[in-house]
Amino acid sequence: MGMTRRQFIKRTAALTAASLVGVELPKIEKAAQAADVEEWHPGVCRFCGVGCRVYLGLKKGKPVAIKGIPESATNKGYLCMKGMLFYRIIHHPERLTKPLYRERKDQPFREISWEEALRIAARKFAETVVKYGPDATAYYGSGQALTEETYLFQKIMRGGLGTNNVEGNPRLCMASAVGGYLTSFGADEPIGSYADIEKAYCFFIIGSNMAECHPVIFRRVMNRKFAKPNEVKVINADPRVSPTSRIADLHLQFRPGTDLALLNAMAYVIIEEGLYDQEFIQKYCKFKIGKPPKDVTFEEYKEFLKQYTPERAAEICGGNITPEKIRTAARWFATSKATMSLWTMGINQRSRGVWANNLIHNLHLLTGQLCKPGADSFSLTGQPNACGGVREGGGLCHILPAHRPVKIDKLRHQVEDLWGIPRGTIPPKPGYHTIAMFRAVNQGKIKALWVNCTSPAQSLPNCDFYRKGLAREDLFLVVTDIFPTKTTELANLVLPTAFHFEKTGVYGCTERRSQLTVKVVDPPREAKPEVWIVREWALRMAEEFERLGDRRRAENLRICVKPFLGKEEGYELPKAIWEEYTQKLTKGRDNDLSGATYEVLKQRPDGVQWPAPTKEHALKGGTYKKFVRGIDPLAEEEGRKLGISGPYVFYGPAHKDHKLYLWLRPYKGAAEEPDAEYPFYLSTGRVIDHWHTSSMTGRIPELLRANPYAYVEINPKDAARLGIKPNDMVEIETRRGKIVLPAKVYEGPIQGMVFIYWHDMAEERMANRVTKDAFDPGSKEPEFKICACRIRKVSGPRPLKPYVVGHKI
Amino acid sequence: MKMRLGLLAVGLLALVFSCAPQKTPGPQVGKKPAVAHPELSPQEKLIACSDCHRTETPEIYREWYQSRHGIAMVKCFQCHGTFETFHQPTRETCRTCHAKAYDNCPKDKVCWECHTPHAFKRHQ
Repeated sequence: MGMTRRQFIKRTAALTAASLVGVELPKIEKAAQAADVEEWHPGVCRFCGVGCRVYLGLKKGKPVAIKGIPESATNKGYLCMKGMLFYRIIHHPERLTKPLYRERKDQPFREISWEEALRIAARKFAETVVKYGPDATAYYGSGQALTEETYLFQKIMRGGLGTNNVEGNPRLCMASAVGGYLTSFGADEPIGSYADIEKAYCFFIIGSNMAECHPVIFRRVMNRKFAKPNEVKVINADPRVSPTSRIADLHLQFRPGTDLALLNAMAYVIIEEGLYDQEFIQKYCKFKIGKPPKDVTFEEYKEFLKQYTPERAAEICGGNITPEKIRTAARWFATSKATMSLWTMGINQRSRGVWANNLIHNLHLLTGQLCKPGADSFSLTGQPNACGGVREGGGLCHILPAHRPVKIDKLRHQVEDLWGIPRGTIPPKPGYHTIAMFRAVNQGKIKALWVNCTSPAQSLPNCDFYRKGLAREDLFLVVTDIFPTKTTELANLVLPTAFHFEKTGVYGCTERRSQLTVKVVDPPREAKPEVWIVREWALRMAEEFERLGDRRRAENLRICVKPFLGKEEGYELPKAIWEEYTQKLTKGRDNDLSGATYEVLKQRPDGVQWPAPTKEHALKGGTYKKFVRGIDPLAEEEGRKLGISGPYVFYGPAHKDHKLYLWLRPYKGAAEEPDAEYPFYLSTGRVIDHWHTSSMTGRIPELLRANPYAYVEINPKDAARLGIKPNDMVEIETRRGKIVLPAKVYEGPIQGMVFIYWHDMAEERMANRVTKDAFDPGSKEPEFKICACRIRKVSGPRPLKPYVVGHKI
Repeated sequence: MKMRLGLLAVGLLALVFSCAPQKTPGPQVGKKPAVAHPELSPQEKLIACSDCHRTETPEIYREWYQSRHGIAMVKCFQCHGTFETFHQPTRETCRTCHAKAYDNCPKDKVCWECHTPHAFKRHQ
């Protein structure tokens, strides 16, 4: 542990001399590989939702380096350590390269051919549909899958098999943001863009450790702050002081889950001090309460806020929150020339995540801090294609492609007509949302499940409970991935897939920006792009349904894949899928991408922001700000159509009255609060060096070493009270289970709260074994961020070993 | 008192050295470094560089921590590699994030002739 090393170094007095500049460091043995790069190929980063543009450097056809693209509108050339190192995954020796199969889960895997693998998958799914009905099958995808992949998977499930059991891991991270945008603005995804960062004068960062989870965007915020240190204010509101807090002028540290009271109190101050924008409210806003929504007046809203005076809110929030701090935050927010709010999982992963989102939007609507340069209510996305692929491409159980709710007959029939399948094929009822889906697996209701590019065995809350279901012998589990994971360990069929730059497709990042990455290297051995796998699986399923006498499904499946037959899988096939999706499905919708063809995307140095209804508009980069006449072509068009005058036209499909809604949302705590038995709040999150379950980043030595295992962060006052010292082993126990982690004692989490990193795969340190699977009743997003636990020291420091499934360390 | 003055003198000397523009040595392939890092056990290699260097090379740590790199969490290994591959960065290392500067800056100089190592506060 640390002490050993310290003693080691202490014995080497020479090292202190290295603190003098002038010491010669060893030269890199070989000249930097990047210097030898023969070709640079543009694409987008594989990891978070920022959408950094990168060049992949090849030498003799092999990936040897990555550099940022300075002209990029997203990252201006900057990269974080994950972005600069992911080329190492491309030819990693531990890649899955052959289909693996076992009939029973207690058997070892054996290598089989692709033909055999596809036949098995087709037969199992077809037989399940015929025997148990289509809802006994399910697809669980990822915000890391390409748009073309998500679109095709859901098309086969819905149009071919006839089920809406289509879900994905964005339910675990973005669903509350979607709910917030739809209920407040009538349309999903942010109005503004990253470009607002350089025009903002106040940043309100809440429930987000941007410095680690969106490092490059944080860097842009930091640069803006340093460029105008006295003019630009940064407010950081979070129960945990994190690296993000380093640029904050004001840090609001509250008890976990009390931010609803804080946000309402800020609204109270804004109204009490007359800092609201009466004209904006009158022209564009309505006040709403309850379900079904009921209109209320501004006066009623004011009355409602009387429960949330700064004094009362400070009592609820605890921590360092004082009435004066709340007033300061509200004043800065309301009076700055342009305010930009930024948030992530601290707001979304909550049993009242949608409400928390609404309350942030409320502040922007009250103050008119919206639609103008530098002002936006901007939800940061966790994954590279949660927006583009899953939110836009129809990757959740209740939405069809291009923001069409499943339950609306007209929109469902539109999709059926566009696909050329009979009306009535897609069921009107949404499928299982993620937690319901895995509970259905546990109950034996789902018999065939396809998991793509994600690892729910580790990433679901209360994962031990759901692993029981995944391990059932009567569940046929297919997993498509590039590496072994905690989920492949429970599979019957493991199919090796192509990685980024080994296939072609589009990622759509946080700011409505679609960016193309074109295949430049071959996948290893027999790994294949998912779009090829799905097409071939669908064709073989059609044969199986024929055999089983279900002609209708056989025909529907053939219709679904017909436009994609005979296409070369590396480029032509995804191109055909993208064309169908954009030209047919998004045309005329609020996320119109029909101008953003592959040709246009290849010409653009940094992709296209929707709406981009024409090539001409797409070639200019698309739409930087939605709803603004002169910037957004749809605002112009809809304004004319609807006879709406003025600079803004709120044409969001979910609000037929073209208004923005301020919601009266009361403060409500977490589903599980600390009590005498479990006195601590437990929260979980990410570290900068690792991506999600670390199945990729854990295999890159630099990243593994930077954060080899999960720690539990404990406030020094709590640690002192419990006799816990740095690196002591600490047991974290919740009502779900126990894990044991080394302690990191520092002034991060608020007193009474502990914080765990969730990337670690080692059973004894796996965070989601103890988290709670309560979820938001609206968005169905689980409350990863808050549950109750107790902690105790179990021993002093112990040597630990990192663990990544299938990785030789 | 004498001891304190002595320490102060050493400190000032270090400061003078650290503020002086450093010429980059020419290529010296195979030349042993002036200062070698002590050997580390596999367990010790799993500790972030900054954990020890905070106390062992406090000036460098402080410069880095207070710099834009430090605030933006650009870590030691991104420029210097790991224990086994520990090296002086090259112009190509900086190009990873600063491709524009790489193209625009003089080709005959290394980046830190003008951009103070670890602090990156200003051109020298």
